[in-house]
Amino acid sequence: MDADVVDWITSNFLPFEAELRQMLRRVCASAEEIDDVVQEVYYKVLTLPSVEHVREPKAFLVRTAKNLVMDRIRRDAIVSMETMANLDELEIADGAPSPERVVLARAELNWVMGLIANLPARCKDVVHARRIDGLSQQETATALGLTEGIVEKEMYRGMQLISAMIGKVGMGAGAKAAGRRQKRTAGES
Amino acid sequence: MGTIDDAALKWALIHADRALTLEEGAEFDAWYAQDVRHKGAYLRAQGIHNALSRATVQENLRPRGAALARQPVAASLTLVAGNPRPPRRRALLALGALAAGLGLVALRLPLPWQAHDPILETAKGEFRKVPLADHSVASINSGSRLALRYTDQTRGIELQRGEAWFEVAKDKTKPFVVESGAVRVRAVGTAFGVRREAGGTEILVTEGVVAVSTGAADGAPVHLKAGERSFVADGAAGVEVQHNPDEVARRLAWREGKIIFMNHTLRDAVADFNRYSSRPIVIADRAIEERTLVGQYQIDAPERFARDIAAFLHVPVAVTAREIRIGRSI
Repeated sequence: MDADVVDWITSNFLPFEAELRQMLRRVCASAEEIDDVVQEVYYKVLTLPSVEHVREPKAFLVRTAKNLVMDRIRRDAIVSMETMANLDELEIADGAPSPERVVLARAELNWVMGLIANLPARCKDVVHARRIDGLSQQETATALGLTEGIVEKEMYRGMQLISAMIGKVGMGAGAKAAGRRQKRTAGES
Repeated sequence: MGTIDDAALKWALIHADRALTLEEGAEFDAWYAQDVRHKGAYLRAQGIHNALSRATVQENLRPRGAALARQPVAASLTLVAGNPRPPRRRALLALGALAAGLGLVALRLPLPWQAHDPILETAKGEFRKVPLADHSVASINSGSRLALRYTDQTRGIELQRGEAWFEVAKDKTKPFVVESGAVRVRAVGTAFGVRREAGGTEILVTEGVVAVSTGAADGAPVHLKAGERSFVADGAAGVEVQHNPDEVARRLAWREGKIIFMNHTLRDAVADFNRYSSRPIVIADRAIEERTLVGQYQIDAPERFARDIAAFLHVPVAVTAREIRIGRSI
């Protein structure tokens, strides 16, 4: 897969994903449908001839998501008035300026570090050793006194928890409430 | 997050680690081709993995690595109490983390503190990790001052200003006691931090147990276990204990050169940064003080923090030699 696209996703989509999911909540029927739409938006990014030409990533992502939801509505041919009204609101959000994206590329790193810091203890140690210290699975197992099987399992769990947090914790004003949810998520596991 | 995302994360992890076997390769190809959602989720998973990998760029977060630990240590250990020039911070932080990773195979030089109380002091923005005569180690935060009072009976330390974290060598015959104002924190073989603030003293325990007593005559010592913290206000008789390992770890993140925010207000964040920098951040706009933040910064990057915040909250930032001002000027 093209490294540019992955980089673009990392800087422009992940930090904004929680906010997009929040918007979709008003026009999607279920959590599964939100997952579907988000995955399809990622796929649309993948099929772009080039990400370089996307001037306003946030607006682009909202517009893409909206089009996908409309496609679904046309396909299903049943839609509530409420959903239609909420779809119009998406358009308004779409037009809102997004100067924060300028700093996103840098801030997102700090943001991800914050997510790592919020993982359960052993999981955090493993993710830290593997991704930040750059140790191999075997080195990590030796350094932390764990079996390789557990290192592998914790690394996967860490990715799952971070994936869940990325879906829930935005960078904007909603961070407080999202943070509480995120704490619970980390604690539940 | 559903099963598609989970599968995508799993594949992304395997791909990043090693070459797929023929069988796995076929399985992945089939999965990937099956649904556009799989392709999208896989791109997302790669992005998450990529975000974690990018964290490796931060130099001062690296030194825990095994590659570093294999290097000879003694050669880089030039740190002694009473060093006339503040050693360079980066090196020190790396050194500290390195020593921690090695279980402290530190080279300990004899310290000439028989004649009078030796003083350990750090300037603003300076961090030191100092091996003590009894093989305990003091990690000293920015802007702190400690007086060492080692006798045949006790290992006494007076925290006169600031904060330090102690890894105490076991010695049952000589209690290790840190005094901060009227508060006494006693330990036998443990690791804990003490922070002296304007209105009182904070105790953070990372290992073992410490006994905390206040100046009150009748008060029995209160025991704090690993993961517990307590703030004892000046003149308070009682000690309130709070169990919160995450918060203890967060508050001690300075040992790794980091500042971590978990939904903390901008006001608190700025106060944190200002502990370490002689060029303070000033919030000129009251309205933004209560905004909460999630994230992690290097302790020595207040300007970058300020610029991120300014762009994030859509407020101006002015950087001068004297201060960093966030928000509209008066």
